[in-house]
Amino acid sequence: MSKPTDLVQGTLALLILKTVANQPMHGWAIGQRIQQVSKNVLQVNQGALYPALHRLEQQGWIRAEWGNSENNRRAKFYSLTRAGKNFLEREEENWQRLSAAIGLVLKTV
Amino acid sequence: MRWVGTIWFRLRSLFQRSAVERELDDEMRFHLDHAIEQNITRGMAPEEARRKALIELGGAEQVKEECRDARGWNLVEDTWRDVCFGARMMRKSPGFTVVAVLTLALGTGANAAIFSVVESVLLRPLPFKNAHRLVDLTEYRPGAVDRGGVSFPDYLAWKQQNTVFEETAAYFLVNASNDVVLGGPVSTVRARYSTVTNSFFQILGVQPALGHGFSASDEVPGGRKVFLASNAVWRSALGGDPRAIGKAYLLDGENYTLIGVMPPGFDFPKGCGIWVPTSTLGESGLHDRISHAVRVLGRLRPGTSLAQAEAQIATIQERLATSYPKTDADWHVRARPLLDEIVGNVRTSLFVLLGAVGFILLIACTNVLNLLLARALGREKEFAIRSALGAGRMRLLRQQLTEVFLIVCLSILLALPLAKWGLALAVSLTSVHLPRMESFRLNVSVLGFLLVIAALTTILVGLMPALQASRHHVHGALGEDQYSGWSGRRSRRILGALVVSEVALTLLLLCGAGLMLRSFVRLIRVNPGFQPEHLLTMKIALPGGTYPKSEQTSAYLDRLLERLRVLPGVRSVAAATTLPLSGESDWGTFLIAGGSTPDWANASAASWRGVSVDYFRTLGIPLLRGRTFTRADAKNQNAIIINEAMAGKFWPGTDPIGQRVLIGHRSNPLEIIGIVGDARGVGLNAKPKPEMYTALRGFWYTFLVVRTTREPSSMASTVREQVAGLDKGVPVYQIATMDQLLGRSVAPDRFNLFLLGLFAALALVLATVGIYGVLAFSVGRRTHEIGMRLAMGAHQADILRLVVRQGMKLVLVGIVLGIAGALALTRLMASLLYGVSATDPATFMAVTVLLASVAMMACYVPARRAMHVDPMVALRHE
Repeated sequence: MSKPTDLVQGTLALLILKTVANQPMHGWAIGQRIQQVSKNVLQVNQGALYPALHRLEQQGWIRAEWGNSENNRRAKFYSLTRAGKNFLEREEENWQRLSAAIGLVLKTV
Repeated sequence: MRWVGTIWFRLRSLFQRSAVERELDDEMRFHLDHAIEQNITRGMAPEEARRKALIELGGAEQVKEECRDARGWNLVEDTWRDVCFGARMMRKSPGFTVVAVLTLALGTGANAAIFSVVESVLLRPLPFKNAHRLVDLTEYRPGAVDRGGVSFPDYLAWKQQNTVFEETAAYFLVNASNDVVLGGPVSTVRARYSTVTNSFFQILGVQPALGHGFSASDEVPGGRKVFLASNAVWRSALGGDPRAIGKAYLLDGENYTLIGVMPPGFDFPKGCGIWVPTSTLGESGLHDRISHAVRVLGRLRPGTSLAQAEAQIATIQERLATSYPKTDADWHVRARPLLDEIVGNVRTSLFVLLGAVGFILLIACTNVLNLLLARALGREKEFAIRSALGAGRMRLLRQQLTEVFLIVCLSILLALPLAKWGLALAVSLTSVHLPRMESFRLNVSVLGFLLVIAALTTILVGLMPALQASRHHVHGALGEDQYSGWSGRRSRRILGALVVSEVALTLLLLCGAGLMLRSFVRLIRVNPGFQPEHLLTMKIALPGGTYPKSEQTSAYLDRLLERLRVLPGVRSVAAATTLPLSGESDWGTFLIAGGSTPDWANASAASWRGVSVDYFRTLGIPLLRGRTFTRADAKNQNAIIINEAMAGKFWPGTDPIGQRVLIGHRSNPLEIIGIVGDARGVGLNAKPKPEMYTALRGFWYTFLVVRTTREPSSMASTVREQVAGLDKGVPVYQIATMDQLLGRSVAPDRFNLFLLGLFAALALVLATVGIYGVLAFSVGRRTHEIGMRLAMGAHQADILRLVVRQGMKLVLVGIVLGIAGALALTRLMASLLYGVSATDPATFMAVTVLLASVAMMACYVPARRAMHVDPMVALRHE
């Protein structure tokens, strides 16, 4: 039911969902984590991160709660909802299929 | 279940706004703190670390705004905030608001008023079943004086042979002498009546509200004498008593049984009050191929076009013409939508008026656009600050459009009473009566029209200033002085285009109004052919029961005319079957006598009128040759008088006096004893037609015309008393002075003139204000430059010329475009004009001079102000 989005936005949403899948995280940590895991290949545009988070929250894929951060400050933690989990699984499959297909094309041609 | 969460999420955004806002703030601050900390650990100075963090984020306010958008609460809330802000802006500059709202209200009001007329007259379907498929069919002879009509046998042939209509019906023309007197227990009234086939009510889909309709036996000659009454007649003559049904009443002296009452409001055709079945025509009436007195209605089969139907009926008619060459040759068939037949030729005039108000609205929009552009310039800084604070371009645009929409809505609220009263005023001042016209009412169609107008106006007026305001870059407007953002050249071009279009539109309207005025002056100067002052007219109806024979009606009429003649204040009095401008006319066929056997199939037609002895003297119609009627002529019935037009058409170059003609189907020839001047019978704008007069013998329905020495309307009650004094059972109706009839006959022209004139005046005022506004604004902005010119030695006269030339150049371009437009468009109103060409050069010249001089004044005032600029003040100005 998500609106059609372009690749970059869609990818950012996927990355965010995957990142918060295991544990609740705040915005700053999400950005840092994506950067870290991708070994600095993916630099998240901070200006786009927060609107994306709010959009995902509005769509019901993630939910937000206020909690204490590692250095004991109040921060907004995002976690995956059940609907978000299903969505993420579907999107992951899609992504795998898509990248495999692209890889196939790139290899053979 | 997810949508519950979504709704909660959105509602929270809307109603716990401060909490949500606080959270957004906290989240941003948390992020920034982390980013700054990281930057510091990388070795930056605290200030630098903060700046870098903000740049990376891309502006805290912008990100917040995007988050708000993402949450989806913005649309509702922003709109509300825009409305509040718009209202505040309107309160802050009341002058601007009042001028803009008033200007638009005038434009919208005129549109609403005219549209409501168009809607009620032309757009609203007739109150009949499948009204859009109803067709009026008639026969006509090319070049004939009469309106034409169908003969009953022709109708029957069409009915049996056609495949294009689901249903056809015939009804008798409601014309002069289609009145009947009904003697009821409450009062004796006269009413229009129509003889109709049974299918007449089926085709219209109307059933009697009380009682029942005609049955099959009512179409057989010699059947029961029954009638249906309209609700109005039932109430006035029969007291609205349901027990009246089944009882017999005197209808022109014969007993007819009331079998049903039609629903309220049903009076088709043309104010009919009584309907009788075709059985009353008798055997001979059903086989009469000579008289063409029937009109035919048809309901098209779905998918059949009007042209197809006309073609098929025409084919059937051609066959009839071969079978009955004596009677049916020469008659052609015309089919048109029933609505056209009912509303007649008002279509053109209404569309011209609709076009005119469209132009008015455009001019009003141009003026307001002009104001808004000027204001947008003054508000550049405000918009720069807004966009610096995170407002996106769409957001600014929306806010601007909301402001304009508020103004438009206010103006529409004001336009409603304007439209209502304006229309009522126009109708009462011009005493116009268009068929189906109603007073202004806000119904669904009018409301829809206004909403469309509001949307269009908002876009037309709001979009350009909004785009203008929202396209600036922040630093330009914030950094420098307020006028630099919008280059002078560009603004001047836009404002110039506004002036040009305003002038062109105004000239168009002025041309239209000028043509109407000239045509109207020509029209009222037309000599009607008689002296209309001091004439009182009315109609009386003699009940056939009391006066069964024409000798009796003659005797009654003689006595009545005698009684009236001796009244104080009465100069002379006459009776006639119809009167000029009364809206009723009769016609008859005639043959120039001489051949052995009269050949009626090739008879000519002329309008006909039976008149009493004093008719020509009373109306003041000049006798050109010969003599007028005497009492002996009325008795012998062997004389006829013709008008000049008839003499010229049928006896060109010879003297018709003493010639003999056969008229109608009378056996004795009539001798032409006199030629009288042409009187305009139908209307001032209709050319005089051949007309013949016979001496009035007995007639059950006659007009009375009284020439008085005092104000004719003051004599009405006296005349009424005299009629009642002779016989209480004779209804008197249609009382009017001839001046009123004359006024009524030109009422549609006066209505067109009044409205077009009003709209043109309005346009002129708006355009003047517009030109003045643009020039004053331009002078204001050029104060510095003008001061400089003066300081450099320019004379005041140079400055005057500079400004006036700037304005008049635009005005001239507008005038050229306007004349080109007028040449193309006034042709559409050619059918409304009398005696004036649609491209009358004198009119075009006059209105151009008028517009140019008014525009000159509008230019002169700001130019004078420019001339008196003090160079020192101007140079210090910036």
